[in-house]
Amino acid sequence: MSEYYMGGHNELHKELIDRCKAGDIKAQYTLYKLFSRNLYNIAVRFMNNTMDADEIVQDTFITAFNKINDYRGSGAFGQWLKRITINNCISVLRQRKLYFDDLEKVNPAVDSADDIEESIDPRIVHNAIRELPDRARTILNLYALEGYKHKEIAEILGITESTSKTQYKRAKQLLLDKLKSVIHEN
Amino acid sequence: MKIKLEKYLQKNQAKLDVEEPDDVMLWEGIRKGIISERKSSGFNFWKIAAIFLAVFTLSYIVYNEVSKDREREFTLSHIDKTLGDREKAYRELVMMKMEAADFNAVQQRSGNDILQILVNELNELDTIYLEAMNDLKQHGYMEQIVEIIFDTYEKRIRILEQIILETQKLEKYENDMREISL
Repeated sequence: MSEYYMGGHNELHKELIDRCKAGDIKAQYTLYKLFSRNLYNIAVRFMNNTMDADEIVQDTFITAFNKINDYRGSGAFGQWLKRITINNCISVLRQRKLYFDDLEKVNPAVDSADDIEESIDPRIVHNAIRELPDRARTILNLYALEGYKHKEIAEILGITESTSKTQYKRAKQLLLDKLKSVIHEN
Repeated sequence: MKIKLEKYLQKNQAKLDVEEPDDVMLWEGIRKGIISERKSSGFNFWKIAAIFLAVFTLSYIVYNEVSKDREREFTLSHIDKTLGDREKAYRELVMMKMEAADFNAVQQRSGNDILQILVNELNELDTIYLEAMNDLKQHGYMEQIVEIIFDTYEKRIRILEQIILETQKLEKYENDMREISL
């Protein structure tokens, strides 16, 4: 449902956005309800804790409502909110310098096939992503879930494109190892 | 059945949203954040308040001075009684709108871009009005100048009406905020 709201139905949102521009608090709350769950989950997956996610989601909406006149409607409103959320996440991670964990030190056990059981519970995958090291988690979130290209990731993180590709491969391997281990335990 | 990790993530992206946000707590923080941001733009607010005061002080002085001058020098009523009556009607309407704008209420609220624009327009009208009155004093009756003076009155009334509406909108916004927070 969240993707349905995030990506499409601009007309549905347009009226709400126009009302927000006019300062309508009820329209603000409706937009919050439409997008908050997805943005919150994105933030949790980036930050690996719910307290940070709370703050990031709040900051995202405060920024969005205060700058809503800057939103020109050229892209989906949900995507605009997502970009703000992701920028906030990366900014916080950078401030804490947790971001620069050296993934080179991480050695996934075996470079095995990158496929999983289709029936695996999404909750298990979500939790496994949360447990990844900061940089691995960030790169995996950006590339595999949020659709950023390696070139964009390289610019955002201040790394080279090839580093982004290499580290994504490692991140993916780490996630696969975690999933296999969880499934094995179960 | 096996599936590539990337494909699984794309296919199940919405299902990965398994965490439930605390909407009450989050919204309360957002609501306070919006108010706080508005208050932090206090520079604009005081700037607007100062301009309001300047504009209306100026307007008040202009109207009163013009009224006094009329008695001993030159007024529209000296040119033509109909023009004088028309000006008087406009002045009364402007004063009525100024009272309705309720500047105490305006000052209690943070300013916004719309108010800023309206105030700037009022300032411009004041300047045009003063220049036109000086021209009349210096050169005597000129139909074009008289029309400019009436035009400033009409525009002033429209702007004051917009200020009243904007203030009412701010009041409604605050009431809605209170409603949602309850």
